Amino acid sequence: MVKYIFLAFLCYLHVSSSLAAITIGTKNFNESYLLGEIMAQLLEVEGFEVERRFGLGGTLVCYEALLSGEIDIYVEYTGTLAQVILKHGNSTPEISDLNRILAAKGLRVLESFGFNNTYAIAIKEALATELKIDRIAQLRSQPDLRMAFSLEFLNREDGWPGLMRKYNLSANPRGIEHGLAYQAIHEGKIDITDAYSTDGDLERYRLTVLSDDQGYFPQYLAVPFVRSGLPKLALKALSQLEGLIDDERMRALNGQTIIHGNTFSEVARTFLIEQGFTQSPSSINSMPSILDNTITHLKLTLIALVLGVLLGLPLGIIVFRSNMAARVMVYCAGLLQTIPSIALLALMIPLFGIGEVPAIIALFLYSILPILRNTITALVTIDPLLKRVAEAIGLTSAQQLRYVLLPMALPTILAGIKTAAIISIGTATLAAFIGAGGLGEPIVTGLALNDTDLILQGAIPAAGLAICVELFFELLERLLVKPHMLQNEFPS
Amino acid sequence: MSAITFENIFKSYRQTFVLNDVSLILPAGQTTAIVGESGSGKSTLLQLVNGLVRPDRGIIRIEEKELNYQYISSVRKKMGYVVQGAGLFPHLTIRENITLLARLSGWHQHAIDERYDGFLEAFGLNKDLSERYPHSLSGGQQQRVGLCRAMILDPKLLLLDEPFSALDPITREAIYEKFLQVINREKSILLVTHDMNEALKLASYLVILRNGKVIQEGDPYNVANHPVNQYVERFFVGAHG
Ligand SMILES: Nc1ncnc2c1ncn2[C@@H]1O[C@H](COP(=O)(O)OP(=O)(O)OP(=O)(O)O)[C@@H](O)[C@H]1O
Ligand SMILES: [Mg+2]
Repeated sequence: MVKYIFLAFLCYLHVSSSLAAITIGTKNFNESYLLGEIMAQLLEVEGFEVERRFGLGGTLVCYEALLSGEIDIYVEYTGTLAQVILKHGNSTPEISDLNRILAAKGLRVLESFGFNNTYAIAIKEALATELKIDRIAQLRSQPDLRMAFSLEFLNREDGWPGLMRKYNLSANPRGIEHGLAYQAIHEGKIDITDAYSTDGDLERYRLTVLSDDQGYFPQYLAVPFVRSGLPKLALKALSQLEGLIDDERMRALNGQTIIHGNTFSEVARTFLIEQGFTQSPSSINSMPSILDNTITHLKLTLIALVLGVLLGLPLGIIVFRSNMAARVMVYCAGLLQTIPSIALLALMIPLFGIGEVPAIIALFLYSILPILRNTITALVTIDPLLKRVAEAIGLTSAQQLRYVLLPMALPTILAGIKTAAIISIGTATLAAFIGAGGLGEPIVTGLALNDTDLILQGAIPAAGLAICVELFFELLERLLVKPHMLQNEFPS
Repeated sequence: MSAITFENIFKSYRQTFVLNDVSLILPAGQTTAIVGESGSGKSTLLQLVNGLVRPDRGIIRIEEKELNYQYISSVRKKMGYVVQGAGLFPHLTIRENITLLARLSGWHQHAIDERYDGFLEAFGLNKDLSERYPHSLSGGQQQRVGLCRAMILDPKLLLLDEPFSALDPITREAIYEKFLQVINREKSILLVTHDMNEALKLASYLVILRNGKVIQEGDPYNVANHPVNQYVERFFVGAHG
């Protein structure tokens, strides 16, 4: 019998390794999703099984995930690679230079998709034609143009200050929030602003990009960033995308999702058909449903909460009799709480990779404090006279806890668990940044797409869950606690 | 045989003596009243017996055996304790408060019920109170419930810290009668009170405490007739045994 199970297990291992899926990650903005989806569908057309881990929270998360093998591919930009990841002095490195350094880490970049998503100076198309300008250098002779730049661009050394020196410009630009800049330029309040060169909004607002004729801005060529161990066939398939997407094309693709509201899957599929990679117009991949997301979300929260109770409650019971130990414990748990959630999630990656496990561990760590603190407070603040009586009538320590202390502490302990649950539900939306799914997924995607509907698909169920949890605990309290034992406490 | 013996007990909190060389031999099967003004150390003396307070120096013997702090909770089950101010558990009903120890000691439900009903009757508590919670009882009712709780396991030794202080004079007189019946002269009782009337009614031995020292002890009527000083004499003003 055991032998068969073992054989079956071996077969399973064998089958699962021969079908090992290629995992593609993306950062949490439009272009990254789109390129990720294009690569995913291309690999699927070529017969690979693909797993999607989209919307990871930024460069660091993606890089750590790639390094640890949690994902096999994501799209990175050469400038970011050089500066942020490799801390390489040269901000416009050659692909071969990068690969020489990356080889030691078991990683490599492929040739660029063909576009450079760098800073750009944008102006209304009509105005540019009227003034007959198409290069940044020509701004020198247009001192009357009103400029407003995003604060980041205005202050970064490789943004406006350097640009001004390089081109010897003398304008005095104002600062503006990036999201508002397009609106302002559209309404004619300003003439010039900064943008990313492949931004879909450039299309939407009919803006043109002044060329960087003196090569000031660093290069941000988009490249597939992969693990060296990727199957040869997969590398070959991906290399077909080399040079296929120039700035204008990327802008158009971005525009199709942002402006026309097409899904990534549709846009990617159309692109692959146009390029002759496939004929079939059917789209395979769809976003998980709201229900799926809600269930995942609930699962993450619930497991973390149960673990939190399993640790926080006994710990509180053990330490509450010692003032010193209780202080130390609450202090430690409080320290955990002060780590910003995004940072805590990022810290989890090198230890536990990405996905549900690190998300649950992070949520668990957050849930300890409210449970532990309330348990200790509740037990410590019980009327000392009653503690004395419980002892004096001959109850053992365990009996004192079971029949007197815990029942009296119950309302406050329940309130702590409730607080932990509600914090968890909120924080779990961030778990999408490390690929754990849940209701954060539509929120993160929606934020990337500026798609309010999508954001609400995550936010509304999350709020609903929080309300349900509140009601659930109210019910639980009613079942477990006598009304006169409640001190009309209000959740803080 | 003596019920409780205190041998040269010293106890201080932050350098001030609460009990200063107290030695007493309290007779078994009798009620000893400890009388003294507020802060004289009465409650402390009582709590030495059940180990809630440990002496700095000195020895406590219960039925001639030195108090064993290692198995203190089983020792305590053999003493009933009524704390000053009743100290009922707010999350338990009156019935649960009184019967908790019996249930935990594995008594038969039938035996518990029988004893419970007898107690309510004896201490003039209405049966309707059974399922109510302590917060809804008067102070006097709570004290009587506390007394019932202390006596549920039928301990041979009772430690009572002002158990009747919240009763009106009429109820009090009635309860004294019941109490004397219930304890049936078998029990050793240590009764803390500052009411000399109560001491004369219930006790057959009297200890007068002042600033942590025993200033007189003996048969209550003896003490009343031969006070050692004016301080003791003043306790008997208005008392009529
Ligand atoms: N835990 C403690 N810490 C410090 N001082 C204490 C403590 N317990 C009692 N005392 C002090 O010891 C003295 C005696 O207290 P005790 O409770 O024995 O008095 P008492 O005779 O019972 O008074 P009362 O009639 O008011 O109940 C008081 O001065 C009190 O303040
Ligand atoms: Mg007292």
